Amino acid sequence: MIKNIFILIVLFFITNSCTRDDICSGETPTTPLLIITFNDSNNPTARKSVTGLTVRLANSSALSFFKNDPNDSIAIPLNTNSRTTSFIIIRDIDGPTQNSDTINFSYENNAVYINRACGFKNNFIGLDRTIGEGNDGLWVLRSTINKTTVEDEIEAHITIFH
Amino acid sequence: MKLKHILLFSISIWFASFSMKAQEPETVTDTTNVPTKYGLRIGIDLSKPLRTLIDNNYSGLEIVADYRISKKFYAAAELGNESMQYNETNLSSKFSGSYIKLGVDYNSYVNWVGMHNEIFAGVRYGFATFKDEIIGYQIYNTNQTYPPTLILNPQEFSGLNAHWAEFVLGIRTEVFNNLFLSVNLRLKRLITDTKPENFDNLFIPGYQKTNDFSKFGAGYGYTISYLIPLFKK
Repeated sequence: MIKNIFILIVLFFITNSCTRDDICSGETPTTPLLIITFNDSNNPTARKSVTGLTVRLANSSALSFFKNDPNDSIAIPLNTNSRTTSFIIIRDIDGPTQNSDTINFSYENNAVYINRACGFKNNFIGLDRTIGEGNDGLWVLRSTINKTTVEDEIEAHITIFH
Repeated sequence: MKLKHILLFSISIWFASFSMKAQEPETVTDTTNVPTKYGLRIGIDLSKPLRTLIDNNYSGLEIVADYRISKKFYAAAELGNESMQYNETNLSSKFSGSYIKLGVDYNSYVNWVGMHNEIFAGVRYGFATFKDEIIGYQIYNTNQTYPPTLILNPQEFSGLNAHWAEFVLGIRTEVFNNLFLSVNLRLKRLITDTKPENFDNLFIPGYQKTNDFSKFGAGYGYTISYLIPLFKK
């Protein structure tokens, strides 16, 4: 009996050491990326891919998220240290119809508790945007905000028509 | 003829010995009556001050008491105070408060005369009042474009409470006259806890570490206690 209890105690300490709480799982939704989809301005419900799409931070030309990458949707990070993030989005980077516009996002940061391993994530609330033409006119003709709160990556938060 | 009588005698003696043996425990009774002492037993959980010394993030103290209510059953209680700090890269937080556990132990061990050892199983109801503190955290972000966001904005959530149930299994032995040492293991099931807004109780005094994915917890104790022999019977 004493021997059995001793074995039970040893087993307890072996199994008690590590739990799945300790590692933040990659499947856990954390700070979301901003999702933008590109639609056709003549046919607003249809997706339209942007040729030679390049996206980079406005204040850092070295950093680009997409380089000459034709796409009809992108996911880009907003800065959690600031209430605004500016991007330069360029169409047809190496082609004859090259055009760059600036897009400036404003929002409030809102920390939301996830769990023990991940801690807190950041949601962006009250999302708004202003679009500037740079020095070569606008290629972004219109944009709509589908979701003013960026809390997940399930649907597009913004649609750009071109 | 002679052999037949000898055999008959031997066999009847042999059979008779069975019936005599069977009667033995009935006829012989223990007439010596050694009184068993019992009363209030109080002590402390040694594992908590020990952990306080080893682990810089932990401090705790627990007073334990039990009282024999019948030959096999003991009313048992634990009263304690604990504080735990977690310093993780994502989150630094602290949890502190007091708790009480009330319940019953059942001793399944049959002692020899004059001995007072126990192999016991028991149940407890646990209740704690405590507070959570957020010292600071780093926003969890899988994207590394921007420098990490550190938020150092201490927050305190007080007046929280929790209820839980425990199943206890342990052994207790009398090492010196009236002085007992005991080891126990505990399986715990959280019933309810008041959650702070936009945070969670990662540690509940008395219940210890909580788990995001289950309501079950585990614990152990190593207690030293002294029996105040109020009664002898």
